[in-house]
Amino acid sequence: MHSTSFYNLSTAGYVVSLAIFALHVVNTRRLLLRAGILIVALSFLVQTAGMVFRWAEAGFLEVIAAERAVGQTLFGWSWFVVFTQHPPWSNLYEIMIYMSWGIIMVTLACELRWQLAWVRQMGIILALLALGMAALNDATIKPLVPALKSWWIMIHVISASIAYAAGAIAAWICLFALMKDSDRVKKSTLIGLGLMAVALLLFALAGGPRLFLDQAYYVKLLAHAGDTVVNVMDMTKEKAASYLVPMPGIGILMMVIIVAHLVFGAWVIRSSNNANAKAWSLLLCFSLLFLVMLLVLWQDLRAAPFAVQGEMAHHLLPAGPWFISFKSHPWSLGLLFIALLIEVMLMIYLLWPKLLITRLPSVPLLESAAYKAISLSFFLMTVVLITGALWAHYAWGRYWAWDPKETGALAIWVTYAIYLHARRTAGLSGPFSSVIGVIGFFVIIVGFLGVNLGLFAGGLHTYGNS
Amino acid sequence: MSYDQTTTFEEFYDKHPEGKLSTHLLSFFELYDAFHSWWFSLAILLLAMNLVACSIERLPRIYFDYVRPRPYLTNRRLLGLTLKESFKVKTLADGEALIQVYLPTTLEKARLKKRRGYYYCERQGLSRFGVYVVHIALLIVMFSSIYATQNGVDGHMVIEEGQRTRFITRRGPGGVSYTDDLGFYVGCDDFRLRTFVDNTPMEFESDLFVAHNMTEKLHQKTVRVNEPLTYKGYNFYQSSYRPVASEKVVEIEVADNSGHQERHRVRLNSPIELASKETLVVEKIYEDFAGLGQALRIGKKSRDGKETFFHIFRRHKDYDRIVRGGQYSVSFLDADQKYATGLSIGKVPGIEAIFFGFLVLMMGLYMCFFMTPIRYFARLEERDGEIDVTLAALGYRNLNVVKEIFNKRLKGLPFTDREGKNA
Repeated sequence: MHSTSFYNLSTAGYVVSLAIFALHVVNTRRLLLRAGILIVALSFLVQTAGMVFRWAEAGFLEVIAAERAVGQTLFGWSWFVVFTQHPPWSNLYEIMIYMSWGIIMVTLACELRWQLAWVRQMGIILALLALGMAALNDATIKPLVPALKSWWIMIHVISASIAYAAGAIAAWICLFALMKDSDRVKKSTLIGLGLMAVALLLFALAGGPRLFLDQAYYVKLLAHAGDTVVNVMDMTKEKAASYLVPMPGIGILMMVIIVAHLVFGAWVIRSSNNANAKAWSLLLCFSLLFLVMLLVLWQDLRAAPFAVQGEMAHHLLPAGPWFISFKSHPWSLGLLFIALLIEVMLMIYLLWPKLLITRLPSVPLLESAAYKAISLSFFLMTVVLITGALWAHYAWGRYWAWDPKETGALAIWVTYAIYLHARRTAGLSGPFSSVIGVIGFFVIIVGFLGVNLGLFAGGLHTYGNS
Repeated sequence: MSYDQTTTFEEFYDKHPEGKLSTHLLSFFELYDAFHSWWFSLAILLLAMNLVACSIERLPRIYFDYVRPRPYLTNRRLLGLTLKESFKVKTLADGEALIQVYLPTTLEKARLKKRRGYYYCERQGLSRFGVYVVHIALLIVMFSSIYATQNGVDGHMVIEEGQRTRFITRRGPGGVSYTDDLGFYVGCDDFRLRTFVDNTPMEFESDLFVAHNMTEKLHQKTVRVNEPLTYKGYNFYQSSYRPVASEKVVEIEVADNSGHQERHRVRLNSPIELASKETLVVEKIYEDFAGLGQALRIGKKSRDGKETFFHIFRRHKDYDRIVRGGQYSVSFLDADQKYATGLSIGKVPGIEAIFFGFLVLMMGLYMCFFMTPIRYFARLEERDGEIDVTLAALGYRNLNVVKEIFNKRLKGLPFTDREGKNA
């Protein structure tokens, strides 16, 4: 038995509970809600057990590897140190599993405290997304690299995961607060800004300005080498960027979609009284996005052989056949899915307000829930920054290096500081602070995934990127 | 346009040839090293000034409210409070007993001297200054980091085993590298690398020492990845290693059929005499033998002078025993490669101040997020032969927590029913 079986079981539990919660949107029986929460809680326990199990698995592996390398059997305290030094959040697969764990924990806490309708669904969808991302990575346990052998990894990564999870959930709560707050927020403004935000998200996932400069959407190439899948990125880290394959068709479509989102977003804000404008713009943007999602999925599923162009590539790459699959761009797919999710929520908000707005609790409750989640996130981000600085000082000799991930974490911290000051000091609770809370989500994405999306260079936090 | 901040000045100039307007603009704004550019420093300085100004602007009000808290629960004061409750009791003693239970302190301490019948106390009031503690901590961190960046050293050095050096490579503005003199020597006696079976590094360490001339050895220490050597404010961190191409020493193990094993550490081409009067010679080291990893070619000279050779593999220790068989088997244990150890040198003057700032920051955040300042007011009034008792509380943040605390204190009151109303 492997820890992955625990994870599979808990994933199944989350899927079932998501289905129950989806049913609960239409049929608001308490029984359904309770059953869903029970299943989520049980799955969460199973996942926790899986993580403990994986810790032990990794521990035994570390002990064996260390014993083989040292040439003697370990006992007592030294055995314990080696056994526990590899926590289940030390590579990308484990980090994504751990992110989903954090998200479910925060969702459950929200559920127990405030019973927020729709937040539970969003939490579970985000957790499933994280589990899906994890599934695309290598799940085997490898011995820890020397730099990660430190007790700081425990508190640093634990705080980071819960901080990011709380921030993501808080962003959804803020969005729902904006949707519910019909007195102060115009429907057209929110939808228009939502479309523009989706445009920004698409811009980030398509590689930032590179999309418009090269007119291409880049995807990594994969090839089978024996039983394992070789990734171009693994071979030569410095040169990896040049082995990315441009996909001009999807690139141009992506540019069109980004521009369309911006234009229609602006148009919706302008023509606030025209109900049809809102509906048709949203539908058009949604269908375009859905189209590109289908195209990308079709491209990935087909896994057709891909010719490698250029003389150099022929000499440097192992023999093909090369292909593109889900594993070629998991982060972009995840973000594409989040963009679609945002648009689905906007559509529900516009077309079936009864399902959404009447189910949501009052605006003050939503805002105070978001405030608390963001306070938690802010506090934990401080812990992340401080423990990161201490660890960096003792491991690398520099407490702060403006490394991309460090800078990203600082950006999130500053965003939440702005949120807290807006609410507490400037008295700008309400739509203004909620908008900052939503922006926090985008900052989290850029800060947490910026390195993986290719927006920034690798930096020092590349252990988790594989 | 985004600029990759990990590129250096030279790479930047390769990409952007001199003479163009865009290059001048980018150089002016130091975009190749934005985080150390003048405008970024200016922004940080402005932020610090803003922090100071805002704190100064808001501090007096809270400070004077803290030292002169307006403790009397007058009718006018009562209007502004949301958490309040009044009761009627028979005697003054009953009223005092009620207030004693309500207040989280003794009646004597809470009694206000100037006017009779008024009681006041404050809990965790100092935590209202948590925000200022956080801001002061941030200022400490900001200024000590500026000081550390100005006066600190951040460099790199590579020392071969058995060598010593006093020069480090530093990076100046824009990542331009230059050599700097430490003023003393740092030497490496030995470097050890332990690898897992798949040759990924498990642990590496160097025996370092410090010296003031070419002969002495002071301050010897073994440096590992998370354990630096500290000397004169400089920290030497184990950061990397690289092999140095030179003569290699090989460790092999010869086991005969009786189970007797013998280890030999030999140089290339130096013979090993076996008990069976045969001679073995390590002829060649392959770094990667047909994808099977490190391998050795061993020459064998039997008693009658016949010369043959065979291969052994580091990754497959049992290969020789299984494949070749015979009187004895040889396994390849280790090839001692000469290494150069890569050290990161950090001198962060005032790192203690930065860490102190972190401590203060955590304290301030604890005050902000986990403490709830509450003021408790109480009043006794005689009216129509009965005693009016008024209880109130004032919170500044976490208002629902304050409300919970207030209700909890009301629940335990004597002479009242469970809802907190008069019996």
